[in-house]
Amino acid sequence: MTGVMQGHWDAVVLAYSLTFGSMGVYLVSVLVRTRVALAAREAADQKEAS
Amino acid sequence: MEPLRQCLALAQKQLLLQWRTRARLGSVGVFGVTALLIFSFAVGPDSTALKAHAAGYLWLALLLMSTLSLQEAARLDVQNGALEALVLLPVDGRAMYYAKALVNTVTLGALGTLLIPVVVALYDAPMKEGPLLLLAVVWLGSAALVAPGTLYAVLTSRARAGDVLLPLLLFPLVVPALLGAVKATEVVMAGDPMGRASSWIGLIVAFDAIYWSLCGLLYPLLLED
Amino acid sequence: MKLMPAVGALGVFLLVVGSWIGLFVAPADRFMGDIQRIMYVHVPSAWTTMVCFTVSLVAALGWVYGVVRPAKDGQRSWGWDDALESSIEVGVMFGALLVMQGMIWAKPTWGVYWTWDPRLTTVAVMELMFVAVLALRSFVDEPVRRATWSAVTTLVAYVNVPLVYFSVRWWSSLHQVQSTSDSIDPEIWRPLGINAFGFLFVAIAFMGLRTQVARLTRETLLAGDDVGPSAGGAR
Repeated sequence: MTGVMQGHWDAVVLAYSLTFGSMGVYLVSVLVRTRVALAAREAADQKEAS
Repeated sequence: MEPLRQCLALAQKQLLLQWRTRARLGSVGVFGVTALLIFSFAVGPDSTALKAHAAGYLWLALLLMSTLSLQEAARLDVQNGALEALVLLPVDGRAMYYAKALVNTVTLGALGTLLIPVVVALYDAPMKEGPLLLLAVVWLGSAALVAPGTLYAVLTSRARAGDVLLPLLLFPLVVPALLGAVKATEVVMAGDPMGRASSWIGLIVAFDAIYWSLCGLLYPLLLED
Repeated sequence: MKLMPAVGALGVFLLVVGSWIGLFVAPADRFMGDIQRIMYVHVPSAWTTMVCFTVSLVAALGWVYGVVRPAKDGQRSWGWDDALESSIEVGVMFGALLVMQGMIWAKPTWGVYWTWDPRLTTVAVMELMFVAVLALRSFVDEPVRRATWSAVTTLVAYVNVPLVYFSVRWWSSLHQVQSTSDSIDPEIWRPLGINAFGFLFVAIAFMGLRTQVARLTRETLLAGDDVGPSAGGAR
């Protein structure tokens, strides 16, 4: 590689936003699934109790 | 050597079973030939390109055929409840695995052997290092595909959507074996002045050694439930 | 589970600090310029992916040990299976990020999105192997079977990673010289180190939260089957 590659901030911004954006989306998905799993668990417990 | 005797007895039984359903295996062979024909349509009537990539096409066809023949063998087991019945008998788990893997290797190796003349005829592939070395590569490579394939076919044949799962699990796994097999075949076909064939064959043998022992160890775990 | 949100918050804090330094404080690379700043998320992603899959290996070994030497009371150590499920999923997530960051970096640098570089190829193959394990899990309903099968496939996949790496390196060395990184500037280490810990803590938090989902789902399933956790898998 010869000389300094200028610019390419667009690629940097894309990589960072992709990374942190995906982490955020994954976090939301895990939280939603926790809610769903908790609700299902409670429903099963109530069914068992009755 | 009780496990060895069991393994051979089981292999004999399995081989007989394969022979009885040979019409199905015949269709797998025809499928392989069809695949080879289709690959040449994908490239177009460029005989030099086809000749140069003959080794790759041979192994792609074998890889596609392997999932079909492995699934077929596992299906025979699961269908009749033979696997469940065998678990009840005092048969060594490893003996069961090696019997299956041995028979699957024989099946795939035979199918591969049949494909060699087709490749030679269709793609005008040379055989500079002689047919014997090519046969050795085909059989060693088949054994490499079969070792994890037998383990996974037993597992996927009992899962939902098993026919999709088997290639999904198997194809990325056999990448090293496939690389070695294609390269070795290429070198054997085009001539080997630099003596590179032995190192690629070494890679296949290493893969064989690792997976034939590892999968034999892991197979009994699948029978626990 | 108040610990995991705290660990995750610490991770996010480190990521903000590390990325700030990486983007605005650290100097641009002498040869590659600003594009090299992708490294501050790319390399930690790679490390984190490997950590996650190593956790999966440990979890798989733990479950297999329980199968080979069952506990006296017949109790299954389900924790291993929950950990396996969560670590593979988190690892696959970071692995996907890793591949995409690599492609974004490769395009301006090498002019192509993809080269058959051993590291790149190995990560792609590894990613596919673990995605296949997740696919297998989603198609097997019986919990004991699912746990054993995914442990076995995880073991095999993990063993295969170095094999893929060396075979691809060997294979591609005939075509091209592997790119080697230039000497590393000490200025690079600070944001890289901070981000590495940030990624690690975030991954730990993800795995902790995801393990909870796996545990709840499995408990509900076992309760619904009217089979106590202790009886699951008894033959």
